[in-house]
Amino acid sequence: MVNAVTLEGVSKTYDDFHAVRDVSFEVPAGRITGFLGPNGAGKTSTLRMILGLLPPTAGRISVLGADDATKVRERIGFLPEERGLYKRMTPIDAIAFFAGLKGVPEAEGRKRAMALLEAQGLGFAMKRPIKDLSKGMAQKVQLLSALAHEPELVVLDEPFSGLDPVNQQALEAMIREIAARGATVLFSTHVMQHAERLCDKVVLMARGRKVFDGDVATARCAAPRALVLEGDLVAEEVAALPGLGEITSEPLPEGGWRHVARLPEVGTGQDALKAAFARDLSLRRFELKEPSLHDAFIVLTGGQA
Amino acid sequence: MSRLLKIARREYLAYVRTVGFWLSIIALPLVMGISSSAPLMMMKSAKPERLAIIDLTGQGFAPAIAKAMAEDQDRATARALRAAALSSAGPAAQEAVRKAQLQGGDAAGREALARFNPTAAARFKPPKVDAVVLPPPREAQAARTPAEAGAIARREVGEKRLDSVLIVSGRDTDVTLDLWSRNLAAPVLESDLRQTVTEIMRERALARAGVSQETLNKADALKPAFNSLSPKAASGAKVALRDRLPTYVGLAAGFLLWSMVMTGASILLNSVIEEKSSKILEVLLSSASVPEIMGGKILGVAGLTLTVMGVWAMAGWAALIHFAPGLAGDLAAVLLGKGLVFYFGAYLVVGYLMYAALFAGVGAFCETQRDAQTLLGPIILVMSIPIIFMSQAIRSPDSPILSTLSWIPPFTPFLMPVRIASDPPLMQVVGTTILMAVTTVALVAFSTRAFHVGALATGKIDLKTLIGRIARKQAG
Repeated sequence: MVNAVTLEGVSKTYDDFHAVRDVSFEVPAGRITGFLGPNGAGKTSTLRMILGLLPPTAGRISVLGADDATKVRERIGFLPEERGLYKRMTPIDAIAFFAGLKGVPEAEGRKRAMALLEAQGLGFAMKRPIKDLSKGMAQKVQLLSALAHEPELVVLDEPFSGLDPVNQQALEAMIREIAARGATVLFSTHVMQHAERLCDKVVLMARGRKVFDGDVATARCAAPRALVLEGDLVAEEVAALPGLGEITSEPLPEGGWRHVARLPEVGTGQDALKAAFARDLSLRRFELKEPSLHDAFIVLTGGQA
Repeated sequence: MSRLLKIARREYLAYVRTVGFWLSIIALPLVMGISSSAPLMMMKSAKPERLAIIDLTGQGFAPAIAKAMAEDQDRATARALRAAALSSAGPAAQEAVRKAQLQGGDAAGREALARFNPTAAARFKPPKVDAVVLPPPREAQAARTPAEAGAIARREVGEKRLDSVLIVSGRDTDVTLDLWSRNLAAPVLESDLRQTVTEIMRERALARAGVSQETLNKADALKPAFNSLSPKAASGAKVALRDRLPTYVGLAAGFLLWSMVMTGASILLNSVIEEKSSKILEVLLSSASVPEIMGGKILGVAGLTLTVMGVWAMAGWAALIHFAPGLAGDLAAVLLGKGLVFYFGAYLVVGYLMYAALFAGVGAFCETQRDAQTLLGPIILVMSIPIIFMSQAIRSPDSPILSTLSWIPPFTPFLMPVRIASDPPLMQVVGTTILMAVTTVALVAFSTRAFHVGALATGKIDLKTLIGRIARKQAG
């Protein structure tokens, strides 16, 4: 598989602070890759190095076949973490301006801007100053500014932050559309649900280091499965069941308790369930819970917020 | 179109399309026009003072004062006519008017002006009369003491029938003037009347000493012929207005360049701060190189500055041609003939580039105006130094301190335009220009580096860290 981006042993140091340490990974072309990690994990610094905005302190980065992203900047679209547009500009002018900087002729840029705005339901606002648009609309305009030149690689830094659920869903659809036309998408986030729904591949960072690199299913395996038991049974009774690991308990609003017991790597919880029935414990509901990407994230980052 | 030009065009249009920009263009000349013409308009609109003179001396002071005031008015009219000739048709017209006035009075002077500039002659209006002398109230003839006359004056002024009443009392060398006036703060005629009566007393004292009126007139007419000469004058000796014009033009250009550079650099600073605070800089950096962004912004704001200068220059030139065509001709000759316009252009370009690059680099570190004020405070303090010394250049353009300061590159663009008119040594012109150009190149390179570091920097950075990061070109 051809890679759109390759990082080899990349590090970034600010004064005495090591923001990124010896990170290597690939972003496969034509796929959606999630770049995950808690705040301060080094995601933004890594993305800036990929885009050529920052030079790495050590290591090599290849982007769309070039050793420096600035050589291929016209083939890259970028949405930064903190959004901003010229407030007095109209959406059509803003999109055409940024497309123009990426080499799209002005007339063509305006044509594309109109089409994109219409497609996103913003046709009515295309000639209003951006300062008069809602935050969600302005964010859409900024994303369209990063896409109007039809880039081969789209880098989105925390694209979902600040969006309401409706706009988050719309953005997910847009990211799928971008990938559907063959472009590579690399986006950072610390909201695992988006990555879980969108990504073919995830790269997980913590404290400046890469802690995981693979597909979502493999990532989930990093976290243990759990057996959920609900009823009038108490924690001591659950702890006495065989084959269960750490247990967390919480009271249920309707009365009784909800116990979540971690299972060992090879455990299925069958022994515990059999024992619970044999002991005639007061059990109203049980569930074998598969780990989510969020669970894997917590485990892989060592619980770092 | 290159990315640099696209960024420049956006920068230019972003300001030019705002109403505020055009209002600010109009505002300055408007304020200057109002502030310069307001006193004149107030003077013109004011009615002449209605003055009555109560003469208790019995020595004919009242008619002598009225006569002297009429003669003063004639002299003022003659001076105004010569000034109109100079501004509308130049020094030759002024001299012709002066000669005509000597031979045939103001009527002849006006005819002489009409030969040079008929419009100016037709439009000429004599200066406003400060006061008209009216006869005092009839009962004033019965007044024998200053107190009696004062009571009449108090009533006439208080009831606004007169604006001023002058009571002249005493005799010969012991004369007292009591001026009753409606204007409490600054009686309009006070100094004129004091001077006029002093002159009358002096003439009469000389007459009593046996000096004839003819001798007195001759003595009054005595005036040395004064020639202002300079080897630097165009004529080789006699200094004309055109010889002095370059110095004044240089001073005006120095102030203009300073204000234009400051204005342009400030616009650029605000623009960078806006982009930095609204996070647009990061997007721009992913779309264009730092030199393209900085160059585009500097070029765009330069376009704005030139638009402002262009509008002001055209408006000023039109006003000059309309009101003072002679001065306009001299100005054109000075600017083009001595090549001053090219010097001014070069200093404007290099000065603007120097400060614009510096302000853009600083702006990239600022998210608010307060941040900018902290960083720019020392720079603005340094920038104000040339302003202090500029006006000194008229009196002594080659003073050692001015020569020394001209060698300091941040001051060169402002001090050299002021000095250039007085033909400073060629070595100084060339040397300061080269030093200024080299400094500008170095400053642009440094600012480009600072801009890149600052654009991606977040949070507050102390000066030591800042310089360290710029040196290593390390953002974050």
